[in-house]
Amino acid sequence: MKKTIRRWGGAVFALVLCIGTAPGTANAFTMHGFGDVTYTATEMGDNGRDNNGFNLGQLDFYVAEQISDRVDVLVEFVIENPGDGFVVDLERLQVGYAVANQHKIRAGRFHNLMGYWNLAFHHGAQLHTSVGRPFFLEFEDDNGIIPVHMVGLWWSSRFETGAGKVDFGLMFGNGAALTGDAANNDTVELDPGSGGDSDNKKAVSANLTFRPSAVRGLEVGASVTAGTIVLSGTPGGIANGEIDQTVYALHAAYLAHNAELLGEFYAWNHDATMASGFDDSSAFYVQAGYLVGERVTPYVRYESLSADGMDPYFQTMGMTMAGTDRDKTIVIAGVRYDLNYRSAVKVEYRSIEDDNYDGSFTEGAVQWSFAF
Amino acid sequence: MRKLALVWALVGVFAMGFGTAWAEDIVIVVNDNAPVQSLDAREVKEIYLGETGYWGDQRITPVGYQDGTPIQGTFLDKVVNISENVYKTYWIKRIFREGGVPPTKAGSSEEALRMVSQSAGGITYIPASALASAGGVREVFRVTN
Repeated sequence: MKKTIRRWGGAVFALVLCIGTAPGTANAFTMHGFGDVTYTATEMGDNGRDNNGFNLGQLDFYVAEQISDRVDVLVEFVIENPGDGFVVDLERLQVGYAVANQHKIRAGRFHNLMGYWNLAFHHGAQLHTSVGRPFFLEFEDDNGIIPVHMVGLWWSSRFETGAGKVDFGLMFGNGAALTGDAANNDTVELDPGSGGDSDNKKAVSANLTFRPSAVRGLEVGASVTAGTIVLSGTPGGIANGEIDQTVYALHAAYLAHNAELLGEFYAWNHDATMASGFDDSSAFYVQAGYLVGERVTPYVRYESLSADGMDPYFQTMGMTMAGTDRDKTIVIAGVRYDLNYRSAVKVEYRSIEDDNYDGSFTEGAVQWSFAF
Repeated sequence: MRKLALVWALVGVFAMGFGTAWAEDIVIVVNDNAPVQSLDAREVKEIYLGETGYWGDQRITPVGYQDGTPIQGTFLDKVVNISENVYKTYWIKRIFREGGVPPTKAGSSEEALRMVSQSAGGITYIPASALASAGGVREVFRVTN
């Protein structure tokens, strides 16, 4: 299924390039995008082999167009190398209809309504202050543990109240499936069902955010996504079956007076047909940055994940081994230098503690990111 | 003397284009057929940030200016309350997050007026001195300087 999506992504990408960017044509539109080049050095010490090298990040292209007074479309592709050569992924394809000034319905494939980072930054490395995203918010094809995309329908509303702005979103779409087989060294990943729903069981996501008028730059929000994850083909050696998943998230973001303060908390609740007797798992991060002058932003971040070793969801994804809980933390300190509003260089140091799995080690990274 | 005059003329041209603070009032105008009688600063700000997209059933089509023009810098400072760089970054983030299109960029107030006069949902801002000769538009808000 993934290969099919990538083939379609490549075909649509080529079509967009051909018809969309020809100057002077009636249908010409502007293509935007993000990209980055990152150098990473990992020092594993006694825990493994040191490693360093340059990496081309995800090259992201997107087009947003108002095609009538009420209808708009957004198409996004990413060219990336998952390890076996470059592929073109169709990341988003959405068509929207403005029902009224502040109410819109969309159909297609979207960024799931989870938390803050997933909606605000996603593939845009230039948009976030740090080099990368928190590790527990990785994309599905990077062994991510949150369904960061959904395929279906999306209703969004915005309300102006005396106290501030309230945004509400509701998504209804295909339930995710876990594909691949970790036991055969195949990558297991969440498939949001872009090509269809494997079990006809749908997923639902909802979020509510509030931006108070009294505190400019503050946003607080809560979100939830619920669905049934289908395990088939004995991925990861776990018995076939279904996992009813509910992921809760809370977030707060403050962006004003040159300061950036971000925090998100996630909790996973699973009810599985093939296992029981495990607890909820959780993760959070907090990030703080401050723009000094007009270009330099020092920042710090703390990330933490606590996953129950008996939870078949994390076992299947290769995140945990049976009976061994995973407590992983990452401390990050870095500096971002903005060359202009479309390009930045970031230098980052990371200290990783992952006692029962990868051990303790450090990393350094330098990234040059850009938007166009 | 002629050289001195030439130097002052060049300095004057340079200052007009790149350095001077905006000195006159800015008038926000809409198409004559737009379904609004007046706007306040907050409503204008919401339009240029993409938060308000419709007047009833009428889609709003805001028109701004090319980057670096003095009237745009003053408008963003006094009405939207952000710098031009922050405004550009805001639209990159907004388009990526929600889709939509930013205000169209005009090269001059004459071009902006022409675009607004041709669109029932058109809105733009011009120097107050340009209002007298403008046709097909009407004032809905004024930023005094």
